[in-house]
Amino acid sequence: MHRLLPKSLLQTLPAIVLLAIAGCASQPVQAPSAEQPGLADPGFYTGMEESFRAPPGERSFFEVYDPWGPLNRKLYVFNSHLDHYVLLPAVQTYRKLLPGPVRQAITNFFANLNEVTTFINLVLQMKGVEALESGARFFNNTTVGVLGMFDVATRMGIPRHDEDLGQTLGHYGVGPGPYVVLPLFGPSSLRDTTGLVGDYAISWEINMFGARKAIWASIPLTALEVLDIRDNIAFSYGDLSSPFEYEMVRFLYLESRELEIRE
Amino acid sequence: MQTIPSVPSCLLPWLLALLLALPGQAGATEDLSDYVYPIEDPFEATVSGTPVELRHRFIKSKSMQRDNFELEVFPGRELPPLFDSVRSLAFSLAYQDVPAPLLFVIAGTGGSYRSSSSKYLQRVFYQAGFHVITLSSPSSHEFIAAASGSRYPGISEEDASDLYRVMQMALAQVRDLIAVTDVYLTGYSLGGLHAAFVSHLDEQEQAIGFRKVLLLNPPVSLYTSALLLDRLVGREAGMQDAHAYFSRLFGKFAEYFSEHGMIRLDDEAFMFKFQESEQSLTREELMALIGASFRLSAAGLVFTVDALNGTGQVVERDRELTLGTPLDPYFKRGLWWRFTDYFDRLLLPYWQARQPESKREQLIGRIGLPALRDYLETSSKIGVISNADEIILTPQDIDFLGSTFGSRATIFPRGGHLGNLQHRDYVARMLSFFGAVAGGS
Repeated sequence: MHRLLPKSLLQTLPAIVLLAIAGCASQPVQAPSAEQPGLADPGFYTGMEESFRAPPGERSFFEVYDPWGPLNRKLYVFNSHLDHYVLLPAVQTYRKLLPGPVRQAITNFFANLNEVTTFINLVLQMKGVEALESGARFFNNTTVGVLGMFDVATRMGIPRHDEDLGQTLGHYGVGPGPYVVLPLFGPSSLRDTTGLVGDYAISWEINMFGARKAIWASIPLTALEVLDIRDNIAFSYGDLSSPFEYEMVRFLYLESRELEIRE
Repeated sequence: MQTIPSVPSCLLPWLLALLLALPGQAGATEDLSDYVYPIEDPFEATVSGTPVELRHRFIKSKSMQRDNFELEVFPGRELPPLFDSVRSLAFSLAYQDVPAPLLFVIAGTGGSYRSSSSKYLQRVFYQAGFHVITLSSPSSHEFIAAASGSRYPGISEEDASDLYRVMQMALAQVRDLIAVTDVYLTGYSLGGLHAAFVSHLDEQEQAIGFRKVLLLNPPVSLYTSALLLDRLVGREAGMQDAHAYFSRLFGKFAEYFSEHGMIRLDDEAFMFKFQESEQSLTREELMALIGASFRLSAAGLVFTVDALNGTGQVVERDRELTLGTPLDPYFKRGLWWRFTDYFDRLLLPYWQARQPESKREQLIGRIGLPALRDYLETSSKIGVISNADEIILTPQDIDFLGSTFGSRATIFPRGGHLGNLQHRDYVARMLSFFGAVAGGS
């Protein structure tokens, strides 16, 4: 369970703007035919398709493959309701109940748990130095940092990495495949959904602190993790204030994943 | 989603007492010679904002009391299912426990009541002891769907009467929750223009009675500002190059990532660090970034107006828009439109259908501050803040602000379009105009 949305990118003007243009040249799938019955003045759009097209031979920068669009869009709306009526109110209560430092400790705790999958994925990507750093982070944070609640590794100057199986697959050339909107989890792709399942299986097998397999612990723990993730996402549905929010979020997600993979 | 610190409630009576003790500072013109703002290029200023050390400081403490409300402005209004989520108009209220003045904030082009600038102003004035209601722009898709009488936003007088109706409904809805002493009004960017027209309408209707009204970086002639923004991304040149340009731009971000490792893009100073790096954006790239951001607003506006009026210019006339309808072709078409296309292809035909005698130039003249010149010259309760290098204004427009508002105009030498909104001097000017005391610093 890594991210509902790429928080980082969503907040910057450049990113928001990039996706603006981006949406333009997407959709080879649904390229409208030359004939557009019902359109008042199709001539107004002369030259539009050409101007949005990638030059031959170049990677089609804005291409978005979304064959499951109608279903994805409904799930997007479903998620926005879930967010509005369930998650956000729950997060509000969570914030009222727990002071900032406690919530930070919880964030650190889950980040430390995820260090395990990051480490494995860095090894899979044969990034030796980063893997060592990740391992050192985990060791220090788990011991000195009391089960990860204090991020002592960052204070020691060990840089943080965040890798998941989706990125590893991307690293080895697997494309994102069709865009997917997962219930609750939000934007994803077929590749990243596969990675998500794989990462979860890994953390299940490793069964850190016995947390994953003990049902009595795993249900409240998962709920807490969901709250923590939501608490740390600076985006709410409707924030982009556009009827094209779905298109923008889709683009932002896919592009930020590409950036993370190239990183 | 960070908790927003604000004034501890124990301090509020004290702040209010201060507020009452220091009335009538409004109109006092600050000495701008102390104003320090390091960014010379107005486009860079617009994108980067204010350096952290020059920003207005907030009191960091417990979160502000804030709730969202919804107004059913036109009950039973028929809308395509796609617009289900914006059937009612949402607004946000930050409220004090004690009797306090209320400030309305109108968002800029396409902006929602919870856009970052609206939230920022809400926090500033909440800490200064105000109740604050933020409203979405009449040009936003949510406002058009839920609250536009004509469903053709852009004609200042009509937008103002839509806003005025919404404000009265909002006041009625929150009446039991808060005790209001006086009502004030502000708006930024396009919202500044709206604020002027709402205030003018209020003089006739007398339903609210705004005590003071402040316009923040408003357009003077809306059509001129639209032209200036349209030119930042030329249709032919800009869009033709869009592919290469954005590839390069993303390449720069990627390069920056690989050099700097994991960074937090939501870091408030990110754009400053980025602009100091080797990958910094050129002036042309900054211009295109701003132009594209406005173009995105235009796309939402054009699509919504077309879809709700069935004009068939973006969405085929026989097409029903449901929650599952792929909007990609409409997004693309929407981005093809410039603001001036909206004016000529949707707004003007709507206007001329009702006023067959009316000429294009007459409509252009109606949608801007010059249409209210006499009122703005003589009404001492209205002020304006802008920048000499404002990118949505011409030098003549700046002169208009100075000559019309006189001492009620504050023109900072630099800041681009709202790049200095968070600057301590800009905030101090806003607060002093309303006779308020900063909660922070």
